[in-house]
Amino acid sequence: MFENKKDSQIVRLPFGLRDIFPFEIEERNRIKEIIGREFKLWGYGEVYTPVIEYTKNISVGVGKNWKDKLINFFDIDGSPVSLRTDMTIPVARLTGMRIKRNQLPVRFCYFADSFRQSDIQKGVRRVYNQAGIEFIGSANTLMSDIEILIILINILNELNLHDYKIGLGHIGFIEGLFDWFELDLKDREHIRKKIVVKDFVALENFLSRKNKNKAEIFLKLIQPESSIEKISDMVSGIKEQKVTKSLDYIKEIYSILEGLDYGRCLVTDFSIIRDFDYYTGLLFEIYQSDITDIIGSGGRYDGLIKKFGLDVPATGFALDIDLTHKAVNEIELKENSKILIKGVNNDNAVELLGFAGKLRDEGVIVELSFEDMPDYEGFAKEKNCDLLVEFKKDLKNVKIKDLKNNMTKVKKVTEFLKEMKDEKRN
Amino acid sequence: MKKGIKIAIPKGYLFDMCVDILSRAGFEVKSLVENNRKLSVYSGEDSIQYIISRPMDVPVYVEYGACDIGFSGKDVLMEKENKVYELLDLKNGECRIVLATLKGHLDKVKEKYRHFGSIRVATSYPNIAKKYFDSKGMQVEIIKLYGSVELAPALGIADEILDITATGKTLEENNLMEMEEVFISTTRMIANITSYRIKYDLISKFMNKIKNVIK
Repeated sequence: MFENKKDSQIVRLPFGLRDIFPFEIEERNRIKEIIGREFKLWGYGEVYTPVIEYTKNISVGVGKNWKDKLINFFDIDGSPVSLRTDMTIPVARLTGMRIKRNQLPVRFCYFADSFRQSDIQKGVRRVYNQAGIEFIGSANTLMSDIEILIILINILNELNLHDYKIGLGHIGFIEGLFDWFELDLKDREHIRKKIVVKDFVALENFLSRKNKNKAEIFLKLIQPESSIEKISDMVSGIKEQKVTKSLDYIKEIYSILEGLDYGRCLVTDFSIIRDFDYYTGLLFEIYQSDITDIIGSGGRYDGLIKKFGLDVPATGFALDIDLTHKAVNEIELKENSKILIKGVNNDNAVELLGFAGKLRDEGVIVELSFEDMPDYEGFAKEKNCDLLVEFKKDLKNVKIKDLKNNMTKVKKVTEFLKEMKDEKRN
Repeated sequence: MKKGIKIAIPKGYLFDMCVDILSRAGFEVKSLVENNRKLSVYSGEDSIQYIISRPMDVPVYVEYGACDIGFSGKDVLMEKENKVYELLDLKNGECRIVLATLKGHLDKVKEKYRHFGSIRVATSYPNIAKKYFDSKGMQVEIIKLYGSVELAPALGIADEILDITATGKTLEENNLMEMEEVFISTTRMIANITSYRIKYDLISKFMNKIKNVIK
């Protein structure tokens, strides 16, 4: 067992990382193109930040569980540095560092890899490719949250994602419930953690000990609910300003999105909270029935950029490209025809390279074959070529094998080029 | 996506308890009881697909979406730490996770820890053991065994064991004495993250029926 290769011949990659091949990249690029187009149409400008940041910056405001996810190194002067775990913090850092108040609001988008430590036993991935936006510095909280939600829904529709849901939560609602329950700081921290991991059993046990009736209502209120009216009825007895205000906020989002016929995918779920202390308002997560993990998430983080020197509100979301790719049923790739030209060598190089160039001008993908092969056809099929082209000795005629229809024809070079040109026009 | 829900049921000592609760909650369990060699049975009446799996695999099936919900012991959930939601305590299938050593060896073990600064603990729950001793600030060597953990002290493999016990009978039979209770485990109903949102109507209906029959 395991003796096929000598130790020195085994090439390995650190766990949780992987290579990606052209076939997958092509589809991912198409997905990113669709996402990027929507970002662009709303005026978002793409930014890119270094993969490495100072640990003290990247771990600003995050909980202990998240700190365990950092992949850390030391810089040359001994300062701890980390790989970024998402793009929200680097973009906040960039904004605090480089953006002046009079430039606000700014709209940034990104496509980037982030890195998170995971358990070697489980072999869970450590790289996360994300596409996302951050809308920073708008004074109109509701409208900016609406904007990013519409962008998100447009993208999910554009990708033809079926059966997806967006869960909406609000950190103010949970905090209001804490006030109503009259919990001290320690209890809040404890409950917050239990809500993050959705340990409803521990929650019930803990809260029932404090107040059985309130516990029952609390647990009902943090269940997924697609009808916002039902929640309204349930909270009618709770006279906490934070609760009513945040519920009204969610209601407004519902009413505007429903007005745009975007309401069907919405679910209210106040158990959506995160282990970061800088989220301040709306929080949301995206689910799709075929994918067993959250494919994207977002929310309002008015408290974050302040930590980098500019006290401004902000909202945004990120989509996980790996999971989104898996969730997308079919991706329509732009189909360029592809041709393999056989037997290109020193003697016919001028004619054949010129010929290939003319085809490429028409947008045809042309791959050249310089070597003898026992099975050209098989090779061409493997490469997904439409045609296999071979020049006759006179270099004036070509033998064309149509691989899709399995037909062979001989044509004049000029005639063939004209045909390809016409085909493109049609 | 198919209608209805898929439920992971653990084999072994929790199986009968799960079937009992399901039947009391008004679900059709005939197929579960009759085909007890089959690993997957469908109950057309309730539109439920039951997957019968090893207890340690239940949270895995649920995490990766092979099942929407499952019944799992808290001990397994704490050991495996799968990303699943814990919805309900069935308050049944109660077991205790305890620390035990050979009768009459307690002082010896304590002396060994003082002297050598470390002891050996055999367990099928290495993750729970590590967290437990970490929380006590104790340095121990953890040995993972897949069964017959109770034999380890007598065989000289370990000084202590961290194991599950329902009645304490096996401990007694192997001449072991309980030192500490680590925690009490009961059976929990767990759910997949996505199913919890996408199929919440079905899941909550199911859960409410179960809730009605547990005290």
